[in-house]
Amino acid sequence: MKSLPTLKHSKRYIAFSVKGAESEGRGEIKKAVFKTIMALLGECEASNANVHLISYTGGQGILVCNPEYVDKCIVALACMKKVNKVEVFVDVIGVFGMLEDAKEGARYG
Amino acid sequence: MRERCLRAIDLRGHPSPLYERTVEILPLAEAERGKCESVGICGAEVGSIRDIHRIPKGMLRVVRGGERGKNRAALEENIHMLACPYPFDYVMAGLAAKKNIGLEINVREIINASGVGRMRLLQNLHVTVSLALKYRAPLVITSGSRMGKEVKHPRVLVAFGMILGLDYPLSKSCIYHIPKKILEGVT
Repeated sequence: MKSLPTLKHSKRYIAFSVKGAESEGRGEIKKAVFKTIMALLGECEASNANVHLISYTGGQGILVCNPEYVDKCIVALACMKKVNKVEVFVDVIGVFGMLEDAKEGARYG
Repeated sequence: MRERCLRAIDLRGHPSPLYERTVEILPLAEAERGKCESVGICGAEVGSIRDIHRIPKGMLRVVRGGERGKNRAALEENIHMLACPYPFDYVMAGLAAKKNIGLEINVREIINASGVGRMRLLQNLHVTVSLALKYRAPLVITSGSRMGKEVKHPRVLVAFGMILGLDYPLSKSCIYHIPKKILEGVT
């Protein structure tokens, strides 16, 4: 059932860049992101955080999450050290309220 | 539209355009040999209280703590920043507030720890932050980056402050206003 517009959950889009794993695919990055989020937040908090990887291309990606968990998700991303046994350095480009802004931020970040 | 860039000073990190100023902190032996390559203020870190007087003048004096006695002794000396400020108690918090000694929260240490080690580290930092808030001791959040790839956006440092119990404005002041004040004391 479609929910009322006033009952919709707001979202925040975190644009991030992964240095060292430009050749890795979206699946590998997704696996690594969820692994680090589960390690830092745990199952209960991760379910409340409502995290999804929206896009990942050329070493830059966008993660969507609940506004209350933005900081925890940023910390979890920063704590990501390895993707598919390759050492990576993750940095956050910015936090955005709209997907278009996040895409632009990721493009120029 | 790009996100508004935060003003930030990194008191331990690799020079980056993301930060207004970055301080390179070297071990004492390298600082004595004058190996500092960055422009502006450099810092020297010592592990022992006896070596504090050996730090050249005009440098940021940093002591690496880690033990209760060492932290207490360091805070009684004339230093600018205490790294690893845990275990921490209210007497140390009072001393840090009185002498305006920055208590360092190094993001690199949290990132490099894992599992139970990270849990204990966060636990200790929670205690340090809560006591520092109560006694108004200055807290400094640093990236601890050693190369260009490791440099973190200032927003990441703010996020680390927030998960440790700081609010957003205070977390921002821990990466700009407090380091600025500490650097003014060095020059």
